[in-house]
Amino acid sequence: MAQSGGIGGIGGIGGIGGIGGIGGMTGLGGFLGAGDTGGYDPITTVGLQGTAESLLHRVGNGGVPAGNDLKYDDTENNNRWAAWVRGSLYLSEFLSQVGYSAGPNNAKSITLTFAGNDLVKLDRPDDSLLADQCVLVQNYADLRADRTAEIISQLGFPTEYFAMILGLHAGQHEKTFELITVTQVMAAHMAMIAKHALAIRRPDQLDGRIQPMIPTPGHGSFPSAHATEAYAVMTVMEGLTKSWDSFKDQADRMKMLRGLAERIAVNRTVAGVHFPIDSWAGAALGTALGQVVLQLCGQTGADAVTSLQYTPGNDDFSDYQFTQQGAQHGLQTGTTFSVSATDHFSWIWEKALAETQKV
Amino acid sequence: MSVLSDHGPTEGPYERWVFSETHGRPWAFPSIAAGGTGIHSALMEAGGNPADLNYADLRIPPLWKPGGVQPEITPFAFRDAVTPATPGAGLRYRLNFPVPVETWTADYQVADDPEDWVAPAVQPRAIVAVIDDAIPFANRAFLGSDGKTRISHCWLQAGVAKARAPVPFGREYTNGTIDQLRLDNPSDENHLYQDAGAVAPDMVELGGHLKRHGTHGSHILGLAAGNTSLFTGDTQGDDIQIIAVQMPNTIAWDTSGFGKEMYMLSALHYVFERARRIADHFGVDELPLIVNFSYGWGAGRHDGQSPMEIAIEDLLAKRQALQSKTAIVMPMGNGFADKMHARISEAGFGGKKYNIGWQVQPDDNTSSYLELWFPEGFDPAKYRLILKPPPGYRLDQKAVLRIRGSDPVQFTDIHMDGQIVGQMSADHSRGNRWRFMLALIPSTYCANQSRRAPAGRWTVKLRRKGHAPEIPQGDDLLIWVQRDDDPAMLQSRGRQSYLVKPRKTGSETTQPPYQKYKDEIPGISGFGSVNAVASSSHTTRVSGYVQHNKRPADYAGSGRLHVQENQDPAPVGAQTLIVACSDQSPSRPGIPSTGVLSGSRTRLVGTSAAAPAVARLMVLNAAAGRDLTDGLDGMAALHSSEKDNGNTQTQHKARMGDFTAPPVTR
Repeated sequence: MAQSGGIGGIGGIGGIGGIGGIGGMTGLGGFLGAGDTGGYDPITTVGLQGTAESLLHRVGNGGVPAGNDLKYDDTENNNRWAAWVRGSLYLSEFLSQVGYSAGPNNAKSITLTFAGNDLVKLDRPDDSLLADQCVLVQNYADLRADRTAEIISQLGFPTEYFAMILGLHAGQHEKTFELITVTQVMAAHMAMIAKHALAIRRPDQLDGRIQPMIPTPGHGSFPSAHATEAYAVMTVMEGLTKSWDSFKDQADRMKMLRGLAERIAVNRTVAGVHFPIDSWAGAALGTALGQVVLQLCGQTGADAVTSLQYTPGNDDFSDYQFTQQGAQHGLQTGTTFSVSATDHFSWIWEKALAETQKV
Repeated sequence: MSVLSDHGPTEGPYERWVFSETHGRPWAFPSIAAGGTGIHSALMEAGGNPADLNYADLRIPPLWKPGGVQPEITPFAFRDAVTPATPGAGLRYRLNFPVPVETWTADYQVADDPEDWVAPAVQPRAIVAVIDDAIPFANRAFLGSDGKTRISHCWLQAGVAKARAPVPFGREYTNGTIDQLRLDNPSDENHLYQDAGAVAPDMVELGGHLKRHGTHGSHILGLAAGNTSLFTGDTQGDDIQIIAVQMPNTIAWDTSGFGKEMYMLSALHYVFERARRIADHFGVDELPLIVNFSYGWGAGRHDGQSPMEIAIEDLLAKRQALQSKTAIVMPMGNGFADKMHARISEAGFGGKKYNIGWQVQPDDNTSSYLELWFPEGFDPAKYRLILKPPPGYRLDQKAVLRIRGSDPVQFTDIHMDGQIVGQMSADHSRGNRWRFMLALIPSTYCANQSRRAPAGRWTVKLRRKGHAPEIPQGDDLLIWVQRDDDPAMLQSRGRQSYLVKPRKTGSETTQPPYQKYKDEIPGISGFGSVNAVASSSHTTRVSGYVQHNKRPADYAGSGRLHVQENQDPAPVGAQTLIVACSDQSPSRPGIPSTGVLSGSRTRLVGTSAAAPAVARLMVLNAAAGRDLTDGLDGMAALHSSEKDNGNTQTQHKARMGDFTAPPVTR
């Protein structure tokens, strides 16, 4: 049966499902359509009707006994809902607290806010910096042959790559996958807001020698949504796996997880669709966003979100520099703040937490 | 640079082609095409000492000079604008590639101790060395049991220079430096190489190759010296130290057979010299030393008398006299099936003329070269070489080369539409052997040039007069096409030209394809496709076999065979000594080894991978006090599908050598 959900076209809330279609390569629809029952094929539909009519004579036509109420407005019902329905709930909780403002007096920056707090401020790179960055993008093309398989398989959310490091599989970690997807979807939305406001051209529009090996996405270059998503997922998974208290080699896995986030970001530069500064901005946004998600899930205590500001310079990107030398490359930390836990994020966290393997 | 009166650079056919703007320079490797760097590398031959040139800023790399005797060939480098106060009269040298400015050490102190070198905790019993491209010196495959690197010294010849150093150019990393880098970067080797200055995508000679998953150098170093679960047999213990040299990228980029020797030879001297320092520290005589050098080119003398081969022989002979367990292991090459070699016997010449096709492929972005070598001592004055373009094209005038007068180097340019598209030359190599050589510009318009050589079937015609000397019995005229592809993905965009058999030769015997050894060896064949740098008599030449069936790999280079009048083949010149596994099976080509980052693996096809497998076994033997070839089998038996006769046995021997090395990888 056609139960795969797809892009939400048949789903009841087709409008929201349709966002997935817009999301395209970032794969929003894959999540929002998940669990959508769709419709039966016509033959089955007719067959069911015929069978139903042939069975009704076996029972009377008396009254219907009353059932028990489901709990009202309660996350206890969440498991009854299709995943895409929960997706709408997560989105509502999250986006209702998101805001953004362009820099004062046309300063060409964007400040993304969460629950009224400044989360990340990104300064817009100027045209000459973008031109300088093209040289680095050209250099990275040297790695295309090495990384083609990764680049192609990471066009959407590269969840399999996180699963590989964390030993996740569908049979045991359904809700962990959902938490990852939630984080990715929120990260993508935040990145798209910043991309829209800052409106930065892609490398191939500036330099005809870049010649990307994949289609250039239909949104701005800065920040990189892949970097945002990867750093957000890494941050959330670091929190979850610590709470799992499962892996004996937790520290090693975190090193590899961090290396993966870097590699996913850099792969997009190798492909020719992102500048290195896009990864800087995305890593900053993703890190802060991951902290927000953990707070929404009721984790990490007070003042656990650190606001960040990034002013791009002509730098290459590496996780080492991002974590160890950020201040030398335009990354500044700001104030810390707290975010209140929300019902649905707390619910998915508890479900994911229960999936620990206790190695 | 022009030829000076009594001292200065010698101008051979490659030099004239590559350094001249009207000839091949626009397509030469980047630093020459861009006009040079003002710093030249060079070779001084015939036992001369470059210091006698009295150039102001001239450097001789660390040399291994037992007894203080000047080597036969000495590598050196010097800056432009050096007008010697007292010219070193009579000193001629051969100009090589330019040296990048950022690699030039400001204060070169050859006698300094290498910075931060730490004596190994265990006295070494043997040393293994690798000279190659991108060397992953921080990979944990090269750590000893104490967690310290076994790489004692590593020289990146195109590394960014330090202000003061005991290397004249590039950068040296000692074991102390490498261990500190590993401590500083415990979980990020990508950043380690960045931190070390070993990655520089904007420096063409250094490049960003250590960002790649695998490199030629990572594969070779792993095979020769690594310890991981990939490798079978004994683990290399702490008593085996490693020395490595990473050569500049253009060594692999350039398609000609010249210009690289200074870097190659200085790498060998560096290995020998640093091995001497290690032995000195422990107060012992020269230690056993196995050097793997998986590199070479196709065209050349193939008789051990090219400058590089003389230098290798000089080094090997002197060191083996002091320490018999000294070897330089080199691959036979991968050109057996590429139609890059032909031999012409007197019978094959067929009277007064001989024609052979030279197929130049379209979209070849690099120069193509063909060399024709006469036997040593042979006078070809009555021979002419004529080059005819592919059908449909005309040259401005007929391209004819003949030797006139006594000048040992003579040239004829090839013009088309008023522009030079090629060069014909005759030169008397080392005063004892004549070479005719052809050079063609690329077959595609590139480098902002309005000229190209037509792609297609060029015809190489050799003509002689009736009273011209015949080709001696027992020998052949020999043709080699120079390697012209892009194996290291360096984006030279070269395409390999090849030979096509003369029309008048008879059809070859039809035999089943599973019989690799034919009843008749055709004139164009891989017997003789020997690496042109590996012909020295003491070089350990390694070819490749397929593990699955113990047959030679189809591409694996072979010793030369001369077909005698009775049609029996006989080996001539440098032959295969050892074969090692270079393919696991037809469906699993190549063999695995280490990639750049610790824990990664990569696969390489070719005799480049066979050589370090032998080096690995040899150094393990040396450290254990065994003979270097201990544990190797004799020549593999002829495969059951082959005919078994003298002819096939001779062919088999040329391909499979004397020894068969067991596989060293899983």
